[in-house]
Amino acid sequence: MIEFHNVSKKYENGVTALNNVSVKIEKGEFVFIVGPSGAGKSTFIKALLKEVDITSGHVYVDELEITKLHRRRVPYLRRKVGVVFQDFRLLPNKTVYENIAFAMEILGTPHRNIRKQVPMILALVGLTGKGNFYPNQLSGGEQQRVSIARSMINNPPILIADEPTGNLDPDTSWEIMKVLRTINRRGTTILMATHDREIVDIMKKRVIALENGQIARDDKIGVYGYDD
Amino acid sequence: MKNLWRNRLMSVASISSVAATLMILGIIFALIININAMAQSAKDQFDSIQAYLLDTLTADEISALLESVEAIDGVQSVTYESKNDALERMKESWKDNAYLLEGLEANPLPSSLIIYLEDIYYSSSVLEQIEALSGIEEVKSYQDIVEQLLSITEAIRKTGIVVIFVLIAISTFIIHNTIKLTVNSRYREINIMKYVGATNWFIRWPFLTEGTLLGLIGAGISAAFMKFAYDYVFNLMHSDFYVLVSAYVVPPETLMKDVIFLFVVIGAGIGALGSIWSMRKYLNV
Repeated sequence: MIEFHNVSKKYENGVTALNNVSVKIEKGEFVFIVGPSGAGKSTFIKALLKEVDITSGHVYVDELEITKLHRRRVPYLRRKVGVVFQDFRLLPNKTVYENIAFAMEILGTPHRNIRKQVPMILALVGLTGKGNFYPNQLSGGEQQRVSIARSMINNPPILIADEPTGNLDPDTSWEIMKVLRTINRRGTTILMATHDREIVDIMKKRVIALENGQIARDDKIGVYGYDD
Repeated sequence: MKNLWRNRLMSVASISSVAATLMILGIIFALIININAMAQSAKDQFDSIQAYLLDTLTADEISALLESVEAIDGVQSVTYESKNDALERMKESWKDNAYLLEGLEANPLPSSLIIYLEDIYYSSSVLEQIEALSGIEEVKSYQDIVEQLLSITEAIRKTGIVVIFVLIAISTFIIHNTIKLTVNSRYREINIMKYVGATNWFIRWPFLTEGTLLGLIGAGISAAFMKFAYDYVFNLMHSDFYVLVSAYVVPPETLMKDVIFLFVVIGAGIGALGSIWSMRKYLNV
């Protein structure tokens, strides 16, 4: 599903964010990416979305080699990869329903389908009946669920979550993890960058640890393993 | 549409700058068109050269001269005007005062060759070659007038083009700034759209429409202005006082057709260019 082959990224300011990284993630896996700040987690995710162009190596997403992908084709790559951010990135002047529908309108989905699918995805993330709320009327956990719903509404095979629990208290974080696990069980490959030791240790999923731009550990059932 | 109203101050600035640009463009355009028309009719009138012959020439020498003039490149036709013909023509043009010519003892007018040119642009080369022939006393042409006319037309055209390009650049810049305000206010939205997989054109489209609309409104205002202004000048020209020049003035209907086309194309172009420009850096996410 995702493959990095000898990928290096050196920024113009001289920082080497990724140094000869090779890794393979299969369809349906749930993978944590851990590591200290500046270890290359963000660059790893950005390379996957083609937000940065890598210096050398190859990246495959869903069988597609994206290194040479034309800029014009990048939107079609992004449609295969849903993204969830720490800061939710919801539009404050749109309701929950509109925030999610927005992602479907972009793909030109007919309104009839939108009206049918938005309530279904809201049920999946446990927000049934909250469609007409505005983001500022919801708790942080609920907002993050809206953001997950938006990223999943077009059924991408891959979901990337960049510190999705970073702004949430532990109880709420677990609610989010349950939602992500449900989505993973439906067959979506999930890649989650995190600093949350408890979650990583309890979930018992594959853990890839990045340090200084290299893969320091890659355990099938891993632990967080840092002392911060 | 909502955004046009929200940023109404900048919208008004954009529309006025496009309108002002197009008005000036329209004025320069009208000037050029009219001067061209005048130059054209002047060319038609002034495309002949008169070469006065020496009185001492014999009939054979005259016909030989006629043949050699006809052979010059750019000469369309040559006619011979004898001393008597010249006098007759003068009497005709003097009409009521022709009696003044009755008292002449001998005909003082020279015989001449009237040379019609294929095109006014040949006049200097033809002139040179005629002057080189023997038996010709003096050559009279309208070359100076024509050359002056052509150089004025050229000067107006050149300055006009420079002025218009500068103005177009300025209005594009103002529209660019207006649209940038909207783009800024919707920065988050654009960013999210990029992550969800919207194509650049999908994102650009509403802003492009907004910019083009600004340009078109400006074009409409300036077209209305041009219509009134040109009608006014045209009518003024047709009052008795200017009747001499009025024959050369291009009628409003003919001019307005070109002006409207020009305004719509340039107005929409400025708007579209300005808005695409203002989006550039936001699309590279």
